[in-house]
Amino acid sequence: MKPLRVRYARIERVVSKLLENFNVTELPVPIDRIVRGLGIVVQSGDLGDVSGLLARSADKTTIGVNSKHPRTRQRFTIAHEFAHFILHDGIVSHFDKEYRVNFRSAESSQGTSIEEMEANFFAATILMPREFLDRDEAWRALDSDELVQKLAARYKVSGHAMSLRLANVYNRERPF
Amino acid sequence: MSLTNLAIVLDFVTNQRDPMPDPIYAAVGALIRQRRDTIGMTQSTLAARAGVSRTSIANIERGGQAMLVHQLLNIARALKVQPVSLLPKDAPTAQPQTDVGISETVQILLGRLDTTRRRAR
Repeated sequence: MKPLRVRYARIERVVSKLLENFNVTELPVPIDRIVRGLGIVVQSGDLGDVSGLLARSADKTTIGVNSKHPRTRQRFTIAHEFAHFILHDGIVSHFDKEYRVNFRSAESSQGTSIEEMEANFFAATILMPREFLDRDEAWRALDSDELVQKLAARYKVSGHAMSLRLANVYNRERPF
Repeated sequence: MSLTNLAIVLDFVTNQRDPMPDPIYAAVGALIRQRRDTIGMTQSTLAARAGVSRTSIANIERGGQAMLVHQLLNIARALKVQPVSLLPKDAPTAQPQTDVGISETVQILLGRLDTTRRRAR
């Protein structure tokens, strides 16, 4: 079954449960530990223009990530592919060239695009959890690039991802 | 996978409200309706005898509700037929399954992955 619209509330609940179950109390969020804790194999390699992949078989699930990309992007990629694993049963194998972050195309009403939006929202939510941002008073960074960069370093995400997430959480928009 | 973690995933998966259940339910629903019409029973009577609401019967006949096994058995008893006669002979499918395996592109990409243990980060 493909989702017909992005299931924001449900994704937030699932992410909260995961963070709680893996006792995540410190930053950066140990995305590798969580993913591996669910039995997924994470490997990296030179994937050319592909940022990440998910491959499910009966006995093994593999997430591949491009070793040539910055670590911050690799973390987002792992979280994004992990989202497909958790949210999208129908995806057996899949690769992503580029995230359509903050980009709504004419395909928005189609399943694939919704799935990508869900994966991006999941990745942003698990790497930059709402409760941590609130505790860090992250809204103060809304008008300060310097603070955005500091937060990005603390959460081990790109500055771009952090500024989108902040806009998402504190401006009541949904860029992811 | 630990049990709690598995539970999170399962909980998520099972909590999803399927907008349109598998087409098998439409086929079962049609057979129930056919039998009910044949013996001239109303939806309300069937509902009362099977111990479900009339709305559920309407949904089940429409194929809009994935019924449970005990409901199927109760409905069959109320309709005085063997449960198997309410099951279609072949399982209809919504669409051909294209995702039967790992795609060729992903196979190639998998070959490019470093199989040595990647350090956690």
